[in-house]
Amino acid sequence: MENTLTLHHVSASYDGKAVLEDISLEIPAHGITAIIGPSGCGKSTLLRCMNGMLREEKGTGISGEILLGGQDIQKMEPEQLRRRVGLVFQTPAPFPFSIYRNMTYALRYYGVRDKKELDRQVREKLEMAGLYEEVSQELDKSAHKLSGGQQQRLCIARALTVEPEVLLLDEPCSALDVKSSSVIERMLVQLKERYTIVIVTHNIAQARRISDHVAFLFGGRLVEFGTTAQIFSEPREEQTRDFLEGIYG
Amino acid sequence: MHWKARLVKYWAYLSMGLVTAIILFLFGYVFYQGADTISWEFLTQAPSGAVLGEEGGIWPAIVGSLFFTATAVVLGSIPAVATALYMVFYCKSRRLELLVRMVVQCISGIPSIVLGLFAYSFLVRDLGWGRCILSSGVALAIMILPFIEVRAEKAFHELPAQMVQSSYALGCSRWYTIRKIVLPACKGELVSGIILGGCYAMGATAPMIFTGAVAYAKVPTSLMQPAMALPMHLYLLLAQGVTSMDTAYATAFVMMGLILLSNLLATIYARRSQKKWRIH
Amino acid sequence: MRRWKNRIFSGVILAMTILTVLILAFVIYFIVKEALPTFQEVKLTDFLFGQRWMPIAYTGEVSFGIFNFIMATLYVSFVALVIAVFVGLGAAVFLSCVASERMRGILYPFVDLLAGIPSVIYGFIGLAILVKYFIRLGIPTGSCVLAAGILLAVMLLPFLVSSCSETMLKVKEAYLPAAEAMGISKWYAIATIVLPASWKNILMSMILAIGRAMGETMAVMMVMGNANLFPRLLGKSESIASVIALEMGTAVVDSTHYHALYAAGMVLMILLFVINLVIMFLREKIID
Repeated sequence: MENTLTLHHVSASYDGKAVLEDISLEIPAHGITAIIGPSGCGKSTLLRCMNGMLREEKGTGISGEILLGGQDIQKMEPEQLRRRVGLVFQTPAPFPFSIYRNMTYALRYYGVRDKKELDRQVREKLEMAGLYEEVSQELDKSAHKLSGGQQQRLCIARALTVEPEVLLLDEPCSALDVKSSSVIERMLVQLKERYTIVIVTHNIAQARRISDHVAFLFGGRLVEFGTTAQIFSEPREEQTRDFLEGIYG
Repeated sequence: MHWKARLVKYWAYLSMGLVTAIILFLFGYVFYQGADTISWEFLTQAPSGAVLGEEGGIWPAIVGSLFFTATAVVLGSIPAVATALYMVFYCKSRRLELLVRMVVQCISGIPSIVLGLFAYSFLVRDLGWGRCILSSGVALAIMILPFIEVRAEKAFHELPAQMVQSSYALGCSRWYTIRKIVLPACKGELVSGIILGGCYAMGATAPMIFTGAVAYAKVPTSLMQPAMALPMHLYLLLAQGVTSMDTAYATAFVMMGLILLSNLLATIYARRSQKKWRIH
Repeated sequence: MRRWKNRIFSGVILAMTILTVLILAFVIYFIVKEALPTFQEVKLTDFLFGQRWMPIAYTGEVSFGIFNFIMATLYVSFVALVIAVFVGLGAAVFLSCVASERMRGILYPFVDLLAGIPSVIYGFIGLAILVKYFIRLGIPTGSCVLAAGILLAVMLLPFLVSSCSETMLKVKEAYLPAAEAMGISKWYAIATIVLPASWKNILMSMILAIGRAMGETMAVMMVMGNANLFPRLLGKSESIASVIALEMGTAVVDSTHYHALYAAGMVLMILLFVINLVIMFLREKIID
């Protein structure tokens, strides 16, 4: 299968302390894969491995192999890798410019100068994020004036401007209210037609609602990986069952 | 009220009152004493008189001070801001980070007079630059380097980390991220830090005594000449005794005025740009 | 093209950082290089502990002992610190625990104005006011260690006030609500919780402040009388920085006098390095 992320024996550490140990995983294309687990289990770290962000941070070590469509990401230029694997963070982090410039920021970096093309891209991606109707009249307004939910959708739209194959989301709804969350959930389900989505969430119900596959992480190890239906109806591992029953919180 | 509570309360109010009084007194005293002698002529003429500086003005010293300050600011702020960028956005090894931090802390500990000694030995003598604005400027630049670096680093650290990482996550390079996001967002703190650093350099005397500041010189035209400087001029006027007291007060007036103005400018600038970027 | 720009920029940043490191190395190298010849003429122990400083042989032999200068530097910094801590800590309590957010926004830059005043102006005002006052009190020329100490204290104030109040503000916000919820009066809580809980950071600010005081030249030089005497509170004395500033202009290049001035500068520099490194490691410890 193309476009898929494959992890072989990935381990990672912060300041010599192991955070991830020996994780092997295949992310199916064109679906939503949810990574769940108690806080501190390494979910976010795993996500950051997948587009090479972890390498950039202070005091981190990483080993193992991550393949993107059969290609080792360690050997890819960060720029090339990140055009193909986008990442959205937990707290909405719009750049301190207008909405329009947020959307064209990466496009300009990649050399798109044509105004018509820029406009078309901005419109298309904002529509995908379901934000266009709300902001079409005020594209030159500061992005910081948007509500939290709108900011997060802007960030997702911004991540889409580089046309990635895979979209990684790190607890994108944890800073948002229920209503904004459900808007984003609906949008993600629509997006999976075109993109492979990996979402880290601490919200089990959310994982159940939107994902096709679930990976359960505990103490830096991958305990179980399976389809959502299987994980939630008949988990193979006891730890998974305990977690889903709310024992670890 | 418990006696401890009462003691601390009185102590706090009294101290703050005293600090306020000291500040008002210092500025009030200098402005009051200096105001009489200040005139257009004083600002625009060269010093003169039987004992130099007794009469005339301080124009060459004003220009000289601006030369010294500008040299120091240009030479000091570039490595300072670059080092801060390195510490926050480039350095990936904690050991290296500690080393650079230690170096900056040590530079900030070098007494300004020792920087004067250094500039004299290395620049004035070994490199043969002689006593000139550039020699002093380098010493002053080293003096303000840690001052600016610390402020710049603090500003960079205060940026929301996920904003910067979002840019990396889009595949954008560090250079693009720094130019388009980091520097514009921190402009206020950077500019105000550099202005305050400039004030610090403008007021310093020790590093320039034997490296570039002289008792009398014409308005400088190049960095390779010695020049007059306001703090040095003030010091010499005081050393001459009673007859130059009036011009001394007036010189102090000019310095305090310049510093008050720059402080005000820096504060306002920092606040205004903060408003633009920071409010969510 | 994009990649090249990024590489060039990274290179410039790295080069500038290396330059910063090199600057320190250069300063140390040149000071040490010029200082070492001193010790061919003078024994290190005589230099550090001798009390006679006679760089030119007008009468008797030349002699280079900087003991009094070292003691004067330490003494005047200590006096300044005691005064500055007394006033500065009080003001810090006021700023962190009494002042409202808005008041702080005005008072912080106001107190910072003190830091902007050049030391030569402090010296000037010291001469014009403190020294005159001390003459009236019966001190012969009015110049004395206490006068320099008071001036230095004012110069240390902005630094002490801002660093201490920053600490106390954090401590206050962490503990005061809980204490007040238990019915303890605000001022009692400040005296018994906020101040004791901040002492570590206050101590660090104090050590840093004493470092700053030791390196100060002009203000001290202008009001301390500059006589090679063992420091007494109301007597004249001379700090290391003053000796250098005063004598560098007349010292013949490459004479022992010239080298001895560098050696004195080296001693001062080493003292300050020690202080700054101690602070750095204390800070790393406290943060951990």
